[in-house]
Amino acid sequence: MSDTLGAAFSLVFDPHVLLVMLAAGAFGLFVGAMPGLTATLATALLVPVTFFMDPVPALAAIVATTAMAIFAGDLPGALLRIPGTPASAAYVDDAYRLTLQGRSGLALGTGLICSVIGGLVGAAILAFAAPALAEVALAFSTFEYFWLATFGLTCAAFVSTGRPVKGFVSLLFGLFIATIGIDIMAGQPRFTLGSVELMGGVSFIPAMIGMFAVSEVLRWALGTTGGRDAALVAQPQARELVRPSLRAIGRYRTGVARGSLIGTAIGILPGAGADIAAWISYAVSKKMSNTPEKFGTGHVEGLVDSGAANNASLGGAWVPALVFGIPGDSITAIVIGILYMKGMNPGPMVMINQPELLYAVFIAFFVANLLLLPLGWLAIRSFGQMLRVPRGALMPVILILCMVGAFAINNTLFGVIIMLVLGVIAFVMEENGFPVAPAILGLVLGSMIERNFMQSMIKADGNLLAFFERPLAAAIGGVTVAIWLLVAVGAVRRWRRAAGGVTG
Amino acid sequence: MKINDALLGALILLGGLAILLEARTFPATHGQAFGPDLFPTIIGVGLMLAGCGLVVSGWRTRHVTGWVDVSAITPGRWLDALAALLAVVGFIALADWMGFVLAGLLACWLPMVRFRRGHWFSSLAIALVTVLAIDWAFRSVLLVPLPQGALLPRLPW
Repeated sequence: MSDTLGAAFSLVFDPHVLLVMLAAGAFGLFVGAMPGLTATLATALLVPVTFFMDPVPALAAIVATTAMAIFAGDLPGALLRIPGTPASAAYVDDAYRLTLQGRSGLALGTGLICSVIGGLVGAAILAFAAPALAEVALAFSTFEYFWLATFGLTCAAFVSTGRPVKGFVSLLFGLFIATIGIDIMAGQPRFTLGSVELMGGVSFIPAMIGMFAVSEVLRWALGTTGGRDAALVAQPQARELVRPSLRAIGRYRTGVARGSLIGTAIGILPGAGADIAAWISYAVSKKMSNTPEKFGTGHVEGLVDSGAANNASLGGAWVPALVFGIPGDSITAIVIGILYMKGMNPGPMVMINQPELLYAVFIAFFVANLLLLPLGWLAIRSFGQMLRVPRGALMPVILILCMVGAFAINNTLFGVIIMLVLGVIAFVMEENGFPVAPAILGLVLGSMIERNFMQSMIKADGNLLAFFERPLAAAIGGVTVAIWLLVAVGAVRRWRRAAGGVTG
Repeated sequence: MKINDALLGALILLGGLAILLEARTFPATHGQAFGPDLFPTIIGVGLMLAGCGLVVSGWRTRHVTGWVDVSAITPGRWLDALAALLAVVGFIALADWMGFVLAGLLACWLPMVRFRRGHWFSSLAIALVTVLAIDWAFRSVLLVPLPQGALLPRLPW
């Protein structure tokens, strides 16, 4: 154990790795601070670069980028009323109103310190939960994995924002994309339209670059996200950054703890990431507050909760990703793609074969969140300069990086075609209220579900009841089926009420 | 760009049907209860059900939402989006012949001019630096075989 920890420390505290984290952190701050560019997009843009790194710097770069990007989303949120990433949307009104009252320093200082605390709590829970869960996961067979992946998809479809039916369509779309190619059990080509390139299936990475980055560029071009040409109201005052913020956090310290815990828990749930964590903990904070009427009027309490929650969710999302290979959010979906490309199948065996790698990820989380303090402070001071980068020049550069990234996976232009097609589809989906995260999860988990189902059925000779014969499988399966039933009952009730409303 | 749920639902319904029909042509696996058609069949049926639901709800709200709402998008913005799409399509079509440097330069420069409403020369400079930096980083450092094309000699790095 201590040997492993020592090895992990020397892996992370290597000048090269620290330099990579610093650069990745600066990159994350920039991307997060640009309205319309998300933490997931930052991760997608990092992919082609990480392929050619060793695993530890690659993962550390992603950890640093995302931790910074989620905080940096608060900057345009507070100063322009445009959340830099969806994770800052929940409390943008409060933050912006503080700015209008001349207290942007308080808004951003609170956001920064809460982000750091939330991030550290998320990292601590990750470091304790992942090894413990991995022990349990060693006993898992194909039956448990089938249910676990199905449970993940269920969460993704129903926890996501918007109408459940749209989440369901998105999920099925992702599962369909995963079936394209040669079927793993029988060798039957499926939906390949006679194309040799499609025989190998649709690779995740070009698909994700398309769904997150290309769709974002299109959304920007069509001007459907606000703030195409935003101007800054006021620079934050440095003197308010530290002391008033610390005082506010001291007053709402239960909120910091609550936000961190809720954020981590939501991060662990497959498919729900930082944005949902922020929304939920903002709502909880309002409900528990002594002064709920102040929320939305420039009150710092909601900022404390949800500012901690969105950074905490990042660490939480790595728990199922590392232990089961089931992504906790769209960022870790990309991470799983990278792990596979590096020949490391995420799952409990990583814990046994390469424990130092896991510990290195945990340490990277702590380092990244501590780095966030000075880097975030610099970002607050230099946000005005960042905003001067013309978006019209930035977007084509992003586009060309996406194309090179999609190309570099298999070194064919076919990857670029996949990126384009799925990017356009994802754009139309998001514009019409279909969440994209379930599709990504379907794409990542589709083959895992099908493989585990087919292997289980070969073992059990086609007896479906075998899925409930092992106690662990029965438990996870029972919960999953219960969620389906609840959702179905709810849908029927709503439909009846709607039908009654129309006829009566 | 808001499209009425009924239209999207109809599209999803047809897509589900197509998946279902295609899945019926997959042969069964000998000696196994479930074959390669099982998952596509479930997906196809699920999409058809969800598509039906969306058609019904979209039809009910058609007076409120209309069929297709693009009122928020000005003609200039359409051209911006078209420029972004054409850049990718053009790159796919031309990269093998022109090589990465030329095709990438065009795919970066032309949309940039469109997005910035002018600035031909400064955009060219940004695009050139971007493409050369990518060519150096990916082709010679990361050893990605970017398309060389027939028009330009290999750059010295």
